[in-house]
Amino acid sequence: MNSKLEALLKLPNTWQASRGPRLQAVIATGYPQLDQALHQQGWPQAATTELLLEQPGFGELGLLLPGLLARQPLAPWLVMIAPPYQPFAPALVQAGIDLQRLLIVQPRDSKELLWCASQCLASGACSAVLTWSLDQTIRDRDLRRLQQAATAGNCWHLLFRHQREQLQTSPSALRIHLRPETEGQLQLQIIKQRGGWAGQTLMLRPASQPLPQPARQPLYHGPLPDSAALGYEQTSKHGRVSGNGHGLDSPQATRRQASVATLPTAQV
Amino acid sequence: MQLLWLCLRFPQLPLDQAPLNQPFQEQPSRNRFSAAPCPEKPSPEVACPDSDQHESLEQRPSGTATTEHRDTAPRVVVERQRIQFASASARAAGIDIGMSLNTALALCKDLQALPRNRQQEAASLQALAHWCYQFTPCVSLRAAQPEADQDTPNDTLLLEISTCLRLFHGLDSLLQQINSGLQQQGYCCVASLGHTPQAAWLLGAVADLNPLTSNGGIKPDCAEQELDNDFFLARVRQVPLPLLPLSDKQQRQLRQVGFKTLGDLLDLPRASLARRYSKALARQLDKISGAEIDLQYYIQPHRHFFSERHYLSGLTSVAMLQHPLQELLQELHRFLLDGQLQCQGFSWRFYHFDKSASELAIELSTAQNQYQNFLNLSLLKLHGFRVHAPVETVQLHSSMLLASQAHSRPLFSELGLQARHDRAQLLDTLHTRLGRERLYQLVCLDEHLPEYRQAMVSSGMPATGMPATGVPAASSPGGTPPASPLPLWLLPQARRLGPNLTQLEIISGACRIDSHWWRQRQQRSYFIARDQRGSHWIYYDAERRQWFLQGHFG
Repeated sequence: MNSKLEALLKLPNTWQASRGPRLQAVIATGYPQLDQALHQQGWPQAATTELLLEQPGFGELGLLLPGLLARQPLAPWLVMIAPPYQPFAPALVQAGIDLQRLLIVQPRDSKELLWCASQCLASGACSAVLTWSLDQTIRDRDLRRLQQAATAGNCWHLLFRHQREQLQTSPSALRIHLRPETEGQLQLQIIKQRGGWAGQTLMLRPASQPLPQPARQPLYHGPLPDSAALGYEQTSKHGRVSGNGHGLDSPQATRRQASVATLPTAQV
Repeated sequence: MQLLWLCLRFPQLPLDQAPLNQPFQEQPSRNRFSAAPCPEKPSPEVACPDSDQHESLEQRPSGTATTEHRDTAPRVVVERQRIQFASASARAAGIDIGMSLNTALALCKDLQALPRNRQQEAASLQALAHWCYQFTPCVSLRAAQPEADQDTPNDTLLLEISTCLRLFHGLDSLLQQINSGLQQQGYCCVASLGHTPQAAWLLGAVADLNPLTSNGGIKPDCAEQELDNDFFLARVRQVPLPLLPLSDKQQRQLRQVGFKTLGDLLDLPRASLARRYSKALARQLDKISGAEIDLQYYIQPHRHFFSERHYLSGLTSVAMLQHPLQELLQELHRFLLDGQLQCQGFSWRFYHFDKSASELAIELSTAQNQYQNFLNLSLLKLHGFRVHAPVETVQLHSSMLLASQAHSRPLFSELGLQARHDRAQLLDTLHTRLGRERLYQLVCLDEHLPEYRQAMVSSGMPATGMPATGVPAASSPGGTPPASPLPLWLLPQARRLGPNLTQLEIISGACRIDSHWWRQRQQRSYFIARDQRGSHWIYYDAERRQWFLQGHFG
């Protein structure tokens, strides 16, 4: 046997196809602060990550985006099961998600939801499976099943649950409690991580959260405007976007708008 | 090119395909239909079986009854009260061809007399031809001879095998496979070889001249290398003339002249033979010797699959359906493999005792021929199926067949070069359980109003949406302004904002959209607003003078 070849094969960084694919143990979260808090330095792969929150839509998806993007090329599908709102395709494209790979499933009940999740996880055809189960509680047995399916299919499972489940024990590899903070910040509290210490609390700003406009742009604080302030009367061109999100058309408009006082309050 | 024809005669075809006296069983553990495909695929015209048909079909021969079993019961096939065919055990009892039925019954009291059914014989031969198609694409039914006796059935298949010898690892192994397959199905067969179809057929009629033994193997004195035109021609010359399919008058003429073997005729100049007897005779001799090409009509493989099983006492539960499902799917799998086909979907039909029928259709997003997949999907579909009345007949039908396309699997799966196959497989599984309407994908559209900027399309469809020109890439090269931030979540319908306690803080300038003046004019100013629950996308509708919430920056 060729001794040179043998020596080459012995090198640790020589990979042979017969050994099977190398498993990437973790995926960097894209946030150095969070990487540091997680003892594996990233999202645990082939396992369930539980995200506990009260109400969706404050930046939790943005927090996951870097991880999802990194995993996207690994498998043909990225599955969202029972998302709370409709994902906005242009924003996803802007973030780098390939819409051809995105599959959205709307199961009828929690039984179907669990079945879909375990099928997707075990198939090995999904880079990540995002499951929202905010209304229904998931039994410990089912959590275990999902966790096993994720391991079998080498799939990253993200499970969004209501924060009242925080006290329930769970077999998930990682559990994080998420809470919106002021100024688009996100407070993360690690409740459990497998093989490491939990209890870390940190503040992050997900990339998806819009920043306030730069100071030289007229910011709109205070009362919400009425139509006259926005200069609709001057607009005559139809069917196009005027202004590109950077502010009002002219300083005059800003001054006029500031002088108008209307009912300012609104509920989301 | 040296052609090699294999001629398969089924001298006992009416007897072999006649019903067995075997009590019909419908235990799930039936091993009657074993791995060998059942040859008696009924023609697809039998789509709606009536009760008469059930009577005849329920007793149909099962695929793998052994020949010994067949021979134990003396059986005869009768037409117009005369014995036409008799099994070996019947002949041992002294029954002869041409005897009247009464005489035969007097000789043997356990005799099973079966009426002759030519239609069924023809169907059996067709089925056998299609079974042979797995060995070679050149399979033909020997054309009926106009001079042939009406009572001798067309019982011969002709296979051109020179092109497939290598695929089946030589002549020996090919013959063995064909013979064991036929035996398993319970057919008695005489095989012979020849360099032309006619020569193969003639050599099969004379056991001494046939290069193959009665078991279908090559005789020890005939090496495979020797099998060339001269070898066959030398043997054909010794064939006695009466075996040549000619009219009685011509046979008499030839006999009177003193011709005894085919060789005597082949030596004569064709032109004078044609003048003295007939042109047809001269052409026939040319076809035997190979001087003239003997064109054959090869069978065409089926363009659809149909198979069924009957159960007299009925299947009452989904669990009992499982076994027939497996059998039929195995048959489908075999059929697809043989024809190098893939199927895009198939349908199950169950006929119940109360004359009602239920149907389960399964569609696949990509054509395939995976037995395990088919079974899983079928069982999944059966999951929600209730057997309201015992099932009498189980049918499997598939007409969505395509030529198979091979897929390559990636070596480096971590690079994400996963085969499209996995992608489709997951989709099929979800479709089957949830239905198509529960799965969708998104495409971007060129529109201004956010709710029209995307569309939901049924998953698995090729993406037909327009490229998202309205959305500049996140990292656009310098010069173009950075894209305005868009929310990841959109409310299904914009929600009106009422006066309430929560103070929204607007952190962006307005983004104005004025569109749809041709319908219901929409004048909107979009703002990004913030509160304790995160950032939101709100707009002011100038037409309706209202504030609305459109989405969340999730």
